[in-house]
Amino acid sequence: MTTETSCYEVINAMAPHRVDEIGADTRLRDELLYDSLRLIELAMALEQHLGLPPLDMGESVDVVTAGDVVDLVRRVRA
Amino acid sequence: MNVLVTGAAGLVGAEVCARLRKNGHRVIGLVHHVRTLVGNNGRPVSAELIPGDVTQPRLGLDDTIWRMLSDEVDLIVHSAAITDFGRPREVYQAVNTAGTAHVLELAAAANARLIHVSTAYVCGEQDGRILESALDAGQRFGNHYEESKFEAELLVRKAAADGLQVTVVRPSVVVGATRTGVVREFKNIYVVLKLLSEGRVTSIPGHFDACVDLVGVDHVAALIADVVETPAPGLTLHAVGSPVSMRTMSDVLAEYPSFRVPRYVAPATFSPASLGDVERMYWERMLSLYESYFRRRQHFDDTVAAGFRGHKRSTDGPGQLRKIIDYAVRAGYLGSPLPGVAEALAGVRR
Repeated sequence: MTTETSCYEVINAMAPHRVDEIGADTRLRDELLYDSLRLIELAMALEQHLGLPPLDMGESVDVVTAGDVVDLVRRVRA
Repeated sequence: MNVLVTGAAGLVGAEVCARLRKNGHRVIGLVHHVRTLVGNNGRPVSAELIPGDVTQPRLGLDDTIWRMLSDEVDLIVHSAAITDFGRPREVYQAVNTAGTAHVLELAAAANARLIHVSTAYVCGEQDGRILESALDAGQRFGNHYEESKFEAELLVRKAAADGLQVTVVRPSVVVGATRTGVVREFKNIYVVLKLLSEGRVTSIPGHFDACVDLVGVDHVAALIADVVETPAPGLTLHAVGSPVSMRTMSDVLAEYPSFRVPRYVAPATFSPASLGDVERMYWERMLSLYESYFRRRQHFDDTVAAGFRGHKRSTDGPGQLRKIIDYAVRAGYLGSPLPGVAEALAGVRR
């Protein structure tokens, strides 16, 4: 499974509001109703699922869309 | 009066705008990202809005707007601040401390009166009775937020010594409306209540007699609106409600059948390493930011504020806690937990 698909599956599994299909442009807060706490929980889920070091998903970094999450994961893996 | 409110879109800022409009003032709101104002009751608040950024010199405004504000503003209510925990120190310094310096420049240029919204927690980790007149006691701070607000108050006091007319208003932990518990955003203590009531964190290092002070957003806004009408130059006012002890918090949480209640352990024997993996992550990333609040025994004296208030403050801490929890349950924030990390991942293909 690609990094992209895995991320989208975890994002949807953790989402307060689930949608049929997640794409790079899906907005975490506006569409999936993530709040700050749930975003930190999403980071925890991604770390566990993909075996990653801690991800900073706080409000100080610009994680707005599902595509931003994929970019963040690729950066920590690089 | 022409009043500039910074942080106009914030929980306190919008409520202040609504009250000042009702009292017949011209309200100019400085906003960062948001383009409309919503009161805590969800209704729109009408005010002139100016996009700006307190972290920038001249609040990031162009010459025309800066000059207009310098010419026309009689009073500034400075409520722009980062109030949630867990950001890097630079963010608090840029927004809360440097932001206040930039607002002080405008106040001086406009020869305007300033109401500076601080926090009762500039007292840091000192225990005991905290007076409104107290500021620098060599205290230790629980987090970057407190430190940045303390430094902002030092700047404000210096400006006051240089002749600026300033009143400092220090709210404690701002929560939903006193009568109804209604709040339009769940932050800070609500996050703590969520993590504890959902059992994400089951034990915390603290003392049963430690206490936090909860104050309704309406009370804070009303006190600020009172000071707009009745200037209190040179004074610092505690906008506080009443203390809630950790024992009370446990007792109240236990009243809700679906809630978990945390176990308090002696701070000296608490070790995050003894927690399970997931619980440790919740502790390290979230609850540890609030750690010292579970140990503090602080009571905020509000004798000076009492002289400026046209209304009575709530003195029923446990009642206030029940109200804010009841509302958070009605709004779906508490009491209907989303699947935890392990549960959610169980349904995801590996």
